[in-house]
Amino acid sequence: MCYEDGRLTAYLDGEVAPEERAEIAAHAETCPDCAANVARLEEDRAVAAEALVKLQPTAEVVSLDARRDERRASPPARRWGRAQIAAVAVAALVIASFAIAPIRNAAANLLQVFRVQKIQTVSISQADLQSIGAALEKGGHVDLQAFGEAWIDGAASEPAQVTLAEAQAAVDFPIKLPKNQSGDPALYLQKAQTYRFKLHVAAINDALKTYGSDRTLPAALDEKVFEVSVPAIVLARYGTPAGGTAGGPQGQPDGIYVGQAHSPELVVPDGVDAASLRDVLLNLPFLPQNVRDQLAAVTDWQSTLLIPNVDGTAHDVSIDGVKAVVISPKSAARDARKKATMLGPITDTTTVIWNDNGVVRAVGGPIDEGTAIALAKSTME
Amino acid sequence: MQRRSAILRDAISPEDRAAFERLYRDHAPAVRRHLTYLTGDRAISEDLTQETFGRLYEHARSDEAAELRDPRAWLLTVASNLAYNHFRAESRRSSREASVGGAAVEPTDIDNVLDVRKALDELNARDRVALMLRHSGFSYAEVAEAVGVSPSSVGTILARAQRRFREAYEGARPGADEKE
Repeated sequence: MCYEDGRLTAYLDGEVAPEERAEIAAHAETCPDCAANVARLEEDRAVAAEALVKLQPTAEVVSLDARRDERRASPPARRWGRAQIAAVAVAALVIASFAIAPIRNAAANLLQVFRVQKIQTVSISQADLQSIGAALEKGGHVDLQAFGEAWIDGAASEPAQVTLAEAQAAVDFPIKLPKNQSGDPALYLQKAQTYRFKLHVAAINDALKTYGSDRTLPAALDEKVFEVSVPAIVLARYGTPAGGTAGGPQGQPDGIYVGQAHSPELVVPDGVDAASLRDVLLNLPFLPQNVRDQLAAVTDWQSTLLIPNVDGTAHDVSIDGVKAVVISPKSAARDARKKATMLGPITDTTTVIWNDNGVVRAVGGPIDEGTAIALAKSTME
Repeated sequence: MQRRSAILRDAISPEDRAAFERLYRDHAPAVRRHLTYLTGDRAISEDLTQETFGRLYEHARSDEAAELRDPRAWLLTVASNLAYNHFRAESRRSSREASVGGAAVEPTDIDNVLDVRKALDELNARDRVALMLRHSGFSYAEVAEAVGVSPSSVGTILARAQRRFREAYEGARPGADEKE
C-alpha cells in the first residue's frame, strides 16, 4: 500500500505514531514511487522553510546580550559624543512624554493603554515659561521628589553596537535608512525598557491648592503604578568609520543619526481615569491661557505626541504628505530650553520626527532644516 | 456598549484585573510579533492583538473557563485563528490581485520578503495560515485547532500548501533557485 502526500508530510514532520513511522520507513525502502514522493515533499518543505524564515522576527532581544558583553572590551558605544547622547535623550524623552492612543475594544476597557499615532507641536514662548516659573516660585519651596518616584526594572542598559541583521532581528518593523549616505552607518540597539512611576497624591494636592487650583487628584491615584514601556530603539549613526574601529571620533564633528522605535506604551493603572487627570493638568492655574487653549484643542490627546515649540524651535511640516515635526533649537531659545526642560547640553542639532504606521522615526544631525528634511524624505522612501 | 463594558469592568475583582494586566504585559509582545509575521501588516496585527486579549478576557469570564495551563500557547492559537478569519474575510472582500503588493505587504529592506509575501498570497487562507504556523513551530494539533480542521488532515493541507508555495515562489524568482 502506498502513502498519500499528507501522510508522508506528517511522517517528515515527525507527526505520526512510532509504529506508523516504522511502517512508512520500511515501505519507502522498497517502493521507488513513495521514496521519490518523500524526496519531493522534503524539497517543497525545505523551500518553504527557507523562505518563511525571512519573515520571522525570531531572534529574541535577549540573545543580543551575549554579543553585547563580548563587545565590552572595545566599546564603540562609549564613544558617543555628548551631543549624540543628548539628541537621543531628547528624542526618547519627547517620545516617552505623551505617548498615547486608546485601543478600541475589550482589552482597552480593562487596561488603559496609550500609544502615539500623531505628532504635533504646542507653541510656548519664553515669556510663558517665565510666567510659569514665577508662579511656581511664588508657591514657595517646590520639592519634585516629594511628588512621587520613578524607577526602571532591572539595570539600565546601554546601547550596544549591532549589525544590520541583528538590529532587524530585534525589531518587528522594517529598519529604514536614508539613501545616498557615504559609508555604512554604525548601528546601535537600545533594548526595550520599562519605566515605572507612582505619584504621592497628598503632596501633589497640597501643592495644587497652594497654586490656587480648584481641582485635585483623586485619592485613588495614590501609590498607583504607571508604566511606560519604551520598546527597543535602533539608532544608526553616520560619519564615523564603519564599526567605529578606526580613529577616535571625540574630536570630530558629530554626524547625522537616524533613530527608530515602536511607539512607547503608557499603561495607566487600574481604577484611574485618564480623562480626569487631563482635566487636572489643563486647569493648572499657572498655565498661560494660550497654552491651555492649545492643549485643550488637541482632541486626539490620547494618541498625540506633543512637542513643545519654544519660540519657534519646533514646527509642523508635511513631507510628501507625511506629517512631521522639525525641531531646530535656535541659539536664542537654547538657554530657555535648557532651563525649562533640564535636558542638559543641546547643540545646534536639527531633528525631524514622524510617525510611520506605529513606528516613530527620527533623523537629525548638525545640519540645516532643508538638509534634515531631505534626509527624512530619503529615509521615508 | 461603552456602558456595558464599564459595568463588566467594575464586576471584575482587582485580583483578576491584576492577573489580566500581568498576562498582557508578559505575552502581548509575542502575540504582536506572531501576528505581524502572519499578516505582514502592523496595523492589522495591532488590532488582532487587542482582539486576542479580548477573547482571553471573555474566556476567563465564561462559566466553562478551565485553568489555562499555557496562556501563551492559548493566545497564539487564538491569534492564529483570528488571522485566519481575517484572511478569509479579506479574500471575500477584495480580489487576490488587489492584495498582492497592497496593504497586506509592508515594505522592507530585507531581500526577498516581498517575494515570500507574494507567493503566500497565492495560497488560500487556510493553506497559508497552516503553512506559516507550521513553519513557526506549531504542532499539527495546534495548527488543526487554529484553522478549524482535524489533526489528521493537517498533513494533506501542508503537503499542498508547500507545493503551491514553492511553485509560486520559484515562479516569481526565475534563476533564484539553485535546484532546477
